[in-house]
Amino acid sequence: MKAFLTALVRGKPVDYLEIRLEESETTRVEFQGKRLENIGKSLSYGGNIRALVGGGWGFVSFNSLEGLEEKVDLAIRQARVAASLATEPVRLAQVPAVEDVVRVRPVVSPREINLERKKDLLEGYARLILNYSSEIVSASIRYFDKFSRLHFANSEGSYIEQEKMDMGCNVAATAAANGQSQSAHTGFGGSNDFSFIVGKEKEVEEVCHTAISLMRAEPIVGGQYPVILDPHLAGVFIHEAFGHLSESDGLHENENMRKVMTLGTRFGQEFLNVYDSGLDEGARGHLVYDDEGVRTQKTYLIKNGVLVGRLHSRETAGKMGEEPTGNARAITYQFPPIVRMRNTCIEPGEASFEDLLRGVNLGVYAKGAYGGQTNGEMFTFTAGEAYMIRNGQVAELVKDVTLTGNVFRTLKNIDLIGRDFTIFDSAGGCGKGGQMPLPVSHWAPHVRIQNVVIGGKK
Amino acid sequence: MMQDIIQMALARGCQEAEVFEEKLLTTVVEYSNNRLKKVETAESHSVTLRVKKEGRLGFSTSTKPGDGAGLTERAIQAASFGRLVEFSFAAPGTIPAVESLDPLVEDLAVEEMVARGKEVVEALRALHPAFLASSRVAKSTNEVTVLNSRGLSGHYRRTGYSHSAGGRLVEGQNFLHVGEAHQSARQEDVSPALVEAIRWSFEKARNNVPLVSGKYQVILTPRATAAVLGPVLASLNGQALERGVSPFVAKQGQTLFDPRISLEDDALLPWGPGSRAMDDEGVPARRKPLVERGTIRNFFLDLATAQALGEEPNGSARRTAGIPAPGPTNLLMLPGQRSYGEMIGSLGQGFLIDMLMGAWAGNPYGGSVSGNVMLGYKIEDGQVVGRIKDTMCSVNAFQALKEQVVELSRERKWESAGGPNAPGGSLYLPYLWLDGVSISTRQG
Repeated sequence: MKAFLTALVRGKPVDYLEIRLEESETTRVEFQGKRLENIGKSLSYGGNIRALVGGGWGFVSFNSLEGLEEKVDLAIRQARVAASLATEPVRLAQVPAVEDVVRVRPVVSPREINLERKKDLLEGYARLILNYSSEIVSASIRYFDKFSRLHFANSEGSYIEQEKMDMGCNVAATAAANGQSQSAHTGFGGSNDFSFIVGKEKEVEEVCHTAISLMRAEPIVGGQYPVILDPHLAGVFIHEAFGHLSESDGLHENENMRKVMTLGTRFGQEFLNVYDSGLDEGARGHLVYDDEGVRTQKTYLIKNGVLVGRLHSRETAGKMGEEPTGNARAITYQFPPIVRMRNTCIEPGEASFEDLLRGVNLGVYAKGAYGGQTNGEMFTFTAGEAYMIRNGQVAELVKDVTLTGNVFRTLKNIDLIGRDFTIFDSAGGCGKGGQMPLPVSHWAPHVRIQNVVIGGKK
Repeated sequence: MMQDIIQMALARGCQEAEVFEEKLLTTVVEYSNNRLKKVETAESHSVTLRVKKEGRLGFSTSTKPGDGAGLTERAIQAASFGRLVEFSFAAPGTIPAVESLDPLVEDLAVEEMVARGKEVVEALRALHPAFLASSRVAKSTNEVTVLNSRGLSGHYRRTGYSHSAGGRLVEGQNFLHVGEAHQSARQEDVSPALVEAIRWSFEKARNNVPLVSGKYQVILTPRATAAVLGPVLASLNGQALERGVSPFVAKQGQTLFDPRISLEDDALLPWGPGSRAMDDEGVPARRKPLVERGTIRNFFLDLATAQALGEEPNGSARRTAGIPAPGPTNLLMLPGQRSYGEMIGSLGQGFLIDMLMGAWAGNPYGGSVSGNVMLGYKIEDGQVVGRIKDTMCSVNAFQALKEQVVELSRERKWESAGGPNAPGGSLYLPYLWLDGVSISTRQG
């Protein structure tokens, strides 16, 4: 394979050429309602060629390796069409040519666990949910594990064989009565240990409890509150509210955005530290080489409240005169790599949970997330569950809690950071440019933010 | 060759077998930050096998050429733990003819796509020196075959054409995103219309205006209407009914919405972006009313959900990663009488809401739709006076469509259902005027 691929990308009339082949096997087990919905194993096989000529990219993806030479020619022809209108050439940041083979080193590999054992384990959780109470009408459990093997070769002499593993399981319970229904959910994920989904009975029972409690909860009164985010939601927050802003494909050709994101600009108070790392083994965002063959690293974004770095592909780093960070990622062979996060973290502070509650007369304690979104300036996310805080105490459960705000103002409004940095991976993924869901992680402690807008019908 | 896979499965003791084969050829021309960035071609070919063995369902999907034996092996292995099913794969039926294959899409040259994209980018750049324009022209040809051991052999080819455009302006820490999208089974140069719509948004949104939290008259654009319909579409899904989580369980024939609310799904609509001759299980496609003058009539059903609910499948199966689930094709909301311009003119004080960010998140069956107003405008005395920011717009979809409907526009636009949990399909929707909509904003 190596000789074949390296020969294919060598000596072509282009500025840059790469080929990526990917073979992956995905196992899915899904329980829905009261029964097993799907169980199966699927195979994905395909590849792509990406060519750069002057200022234009050509990209061809395929399933069949037949006629690869013609596909290379097509990618080059397309790059020339794109280049014909380009006003300036794309200059990729220099990286050393790499030859490497990366194997996964699982603690317990999901590939060693047979389908029946996976089904039995998940069926146990489904039964736990359905037997929890008569108010629970439906369980939803979606499990997957994916093992991929990638081959990457480029015209600069790099050749990398890389294995990847990704696992996730989403668990939801739905309670219904009198035409009303409420769901609660939790998710688990990881990249090197099937144990991530073993022994989760307590968490599953908590989900059932929350779904039932939500049936009796009142919708929150919309307005502006001090909010304490639990570590899961704080992770989603930093991913949405700041991580996406650090992705340099939104900056490199936008002069005004570059001004907003000038290194050295203060984004938060002295105690705010944020980084994005590919180095955390076991995290879903763990990555040795990105999809341009660049070795990943731990990249500080905010240090002591000040902007110190950002996330790059070779193209964005080249344009901005900075070092590539190993953040060019593609969800599958069907897509070209774009700038994406890996494991985005808020470093722990010094506050205890009691410190966070102290002085909050009327506020919200928000836990877990249903999802979030950002446009760079504004962010929004929906809490999995949320409680009012009254006179410094966690009080009643409330529902329909969606938090929103201005990214810049909200980061500055973080006034306390907990000391309980929590390692946790969910089953979801990040979406950008039609590439969804990409495995990412976001680890964080509890965080307190002042003046967060919460939508509400009331 | 696909027949061979079915024969192989039957020879291995399967009671039934079904093959779903999809070939997709897509070409995309993409401009971003005012520049032509890339030209892409994607060829894909996937085969999914479902088998029924000892009453249990197994499936596997593969994109590896010549993987028929592996596919059969994995599907049979999965069937040994699979779910017990009572339904059979689809019986052969009459597949209707649908206008959904435009040879001009297949013939459309990349150079012409480049030119259409360029026309829009050039026009949008003129809006403001710091405006960064984007434009994406895409065409596709999709070929689907469904075969099964009951003798069903369905096949169709359809084309798709889309052109989306927009851009952003960053001034200090004030970000403005605008955009419009067009989709159809037929190719057509829509560049001037896209530019016109984007220019309108851009000009009206240049000036930020203050607001106070409260309950207001609100007109939702078709794009925002799509967000509000999210919970309704999720609850019309046969799987949600089967699982007992939909609020529409046992509500067929009941009037749950304002009589002006009618929704139908029409896979046979000529040149609709979601038009097709059969669904992804080979059941003939059709037109079906879902909500008729506020009354629940039909649900989205595939083979499995139809069997579970004791109804007939109605051609709603769509596949994701090979697995079928019910969902819309062309979802049409019936229009009203007046133009939306007249609606705005007679609204008095209120808001026009266009883009809602994050409104898809949350439990859809509860009906809560709450999003940050990424693009929205204040209306004063029937005039759009400027852009609103730092604002959440929240409604309960079920309540809003029952009690808060004021009027629907006669104009409709094609939209896609938003968010990662969206069921797919294309939505043809009017502007929707609601009263008593909760708008929350930052104090001070």
